[in-house]
Amino acid sequence: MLALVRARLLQLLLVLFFMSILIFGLMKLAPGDPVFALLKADEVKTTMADEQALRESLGLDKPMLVQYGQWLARVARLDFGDSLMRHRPVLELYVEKLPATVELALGGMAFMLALAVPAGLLAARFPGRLPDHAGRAFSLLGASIPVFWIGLLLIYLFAYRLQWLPFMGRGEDWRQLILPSVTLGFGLSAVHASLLRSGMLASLSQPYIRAARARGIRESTIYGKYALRGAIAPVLTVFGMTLGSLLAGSVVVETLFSWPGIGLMAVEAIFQRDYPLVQGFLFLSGALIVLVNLAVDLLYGWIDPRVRLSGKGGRR
Amino acid sequence: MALTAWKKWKKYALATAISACMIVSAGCSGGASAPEAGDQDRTAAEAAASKRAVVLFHVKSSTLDPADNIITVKAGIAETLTRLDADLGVKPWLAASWTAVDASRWEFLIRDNVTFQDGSPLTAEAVKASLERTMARNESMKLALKIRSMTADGQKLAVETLEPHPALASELLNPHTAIIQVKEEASIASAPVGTGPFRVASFAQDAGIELERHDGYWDGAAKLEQVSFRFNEDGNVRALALQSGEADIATQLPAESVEAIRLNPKLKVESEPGLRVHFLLFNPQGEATGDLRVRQAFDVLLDRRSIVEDIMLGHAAPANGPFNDRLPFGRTAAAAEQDLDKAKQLLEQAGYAPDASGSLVKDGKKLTLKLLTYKARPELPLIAQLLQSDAAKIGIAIDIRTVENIDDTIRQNRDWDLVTYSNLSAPRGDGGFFLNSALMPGGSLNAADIRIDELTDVMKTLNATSEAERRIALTREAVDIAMSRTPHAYAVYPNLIVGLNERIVGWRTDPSEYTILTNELDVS
Repeated sequence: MLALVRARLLQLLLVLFFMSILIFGLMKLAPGDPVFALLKADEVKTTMADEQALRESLGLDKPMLVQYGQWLARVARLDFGDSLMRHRPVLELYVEKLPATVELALGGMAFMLALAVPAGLLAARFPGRLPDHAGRAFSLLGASIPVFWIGLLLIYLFAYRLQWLPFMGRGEDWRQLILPSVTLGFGLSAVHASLLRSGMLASLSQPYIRAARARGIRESTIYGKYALRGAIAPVLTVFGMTLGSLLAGSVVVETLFSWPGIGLMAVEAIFQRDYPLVQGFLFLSGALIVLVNLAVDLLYGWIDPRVRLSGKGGRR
Repeated sequence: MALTAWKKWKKYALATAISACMIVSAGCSGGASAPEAGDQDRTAAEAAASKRAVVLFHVKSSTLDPADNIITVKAGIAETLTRLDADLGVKPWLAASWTAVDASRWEFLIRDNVTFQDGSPLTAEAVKASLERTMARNESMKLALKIRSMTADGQKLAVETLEPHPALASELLNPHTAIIQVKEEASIASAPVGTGPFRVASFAQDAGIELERHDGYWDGAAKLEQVSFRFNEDGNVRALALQSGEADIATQLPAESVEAIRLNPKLKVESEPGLRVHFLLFNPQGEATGDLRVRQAFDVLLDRRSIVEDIMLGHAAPANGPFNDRLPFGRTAAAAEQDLDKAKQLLEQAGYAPDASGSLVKDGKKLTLKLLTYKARPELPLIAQLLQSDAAKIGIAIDIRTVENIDDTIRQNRDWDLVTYSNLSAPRGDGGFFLNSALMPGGSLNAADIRIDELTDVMKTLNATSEAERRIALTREAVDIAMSRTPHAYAVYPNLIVGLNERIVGWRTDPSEYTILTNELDVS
């Protein structure tokens, strides 16, 4: 197990290095100029000469490799620089927004699990019957309906019509977490329920399940212990990837519900071409995603003894 | 067999019907399905009891530092030395008066009855410290104010600028220059101390501000005791929150939501032209658009009436120049009507003649123009389509390209002929900004590199003139010169649309969009 952790951590460093090249390169290749936004040139009388002077003072006129080298050297010391627009350290801004994003991600995941696990298990328990059809219809709906529309419908129904839940905001009332979590979890649960259903069906057709039934083991034990354990691996893979991306923020849900998370800040930074903030955000979120996936890999070792014994890790 | 199949399908049908009913019942909107009036006003009634109002603003803010964000003035926390009045003229606010000693030297007299929200008096020294901090922190303000030095003496503030700067008083109404107490640097981002009618009770980044009345406000304590100033960037959510009574004021409502709000007797809508203008920007180096007659043809081809009525749903006014005609230097002439015959005539004079298929041709080449547009303002691509359709009627083909970042695209490329564009033309009640930035060589908004030689002398004089009436006359003269060369075809002035609960009184839509909360705002 220790070898697995060591191997994964080495890979993590390599991934982060290549990620840094990609992030920096993409930001520089993308169209846009932070100086135009910084000078508020669409509202304040400035000239192109003013813009050039500021570009030089920010070091944005230096060769790309020099800029990358300087940035990487700072990143190695966990210094992501200051946001051009917010005039504050990027790391400080990221850490400040992270709790809201984690809260929303966990809320969304909790709702997703609450919906996807029973739906997937029921569908697999009664294949071809009403729970299965309903589950598949739900999966289709969940995967097809855009998140913003689900969010607007939920707001319309629960905040506007029934007035049971608040429209937006965070921190004043615990109920403010419900609608964003449900919006976020709805689409995700469709994918996970569908995955769980197919995993369970595949698992239930395995010889060891037939053997267990032949030995007279209770159906609930077969489902809950043997079949579920066999079916959980692919679900866990997608779960890890989803959790990672959720921790990078969900722009649509954050916008709809005025949820002050990382995603909203990142999109604003992208539009403003706030290079230090976007680069810092991408790097930190990328690292977070890689770490979550590392945790999932380690979890495999715990769930599946073959992984643990081989010491290689990896997903099936 | 058939019965079994039906039974099987019945299950699908039932599941689908249930889902559809849920979605349809949730999705249907309109006056008839709105909540009962009593429910709707529940929040409003509770709020009225405590003289509290809820405002939903369309742009979020991560800081209350006026150097970084303009929300501080909008939320009534801080104020600027000057302001725009209802007639869009520059008027005193924290400055009681000012005098231009010459084009580079000014004397401001700061009001002596003003205190900050912490009880300390507003002096010229405090104003100086605040402006110095702003310029040190905000490069844009440093360039806009161009201040070389400031000398404070009691309530008198003497300002010297780096170069003649007759528009200084107008630049000082920019909310970034709001005056705050700079003693406690650490708390400025979350709880700045200003002179406005409301003080910050709490601030949640990107979510909202809780405000309470500043009893010692110099212009009379606010009528509201508390205001919850929340941010939400989704227009549909803001409209729903207003309809439910969750919000009393919702800014920048989508035009399509206005009808439903107007049907509700408990709500009202204020829709007034702002200081922005949508227009066509021509490439003066374009093969066709380099010809004045082609540009003039497009000016009369533009169907301003249809843009107002069909695209903007009535929430705009036809434009007759770069500046809203409510401004003192706005043009009084009526906006041009669409005239296809005149457009054809102008194009004929420019050497274009229809071929057998009706397409306009010059030197054997069909008149095909490339038009760039962008989605950040959703009406602009629609204006592009309308123009494409009208141009086709007289034999012009327009190839529309939608780009992500219009400013970069037009700066870095010259292979375009027209752009549907939009700018705040007089954000601070002075025309100098737009004329210098958009029509003079090297201006930050002059990506097309427009050069109008006749404009140079007038702009030089305007940029050195402090006297208000003279500036108005010079601005008009500059606009007339620019219009005669048609570097742009001005389309419409879009409206600012604000939704209000009927219990809100004392509301005034500020065309500059700089103020929202005032001491006059109240709940009935």
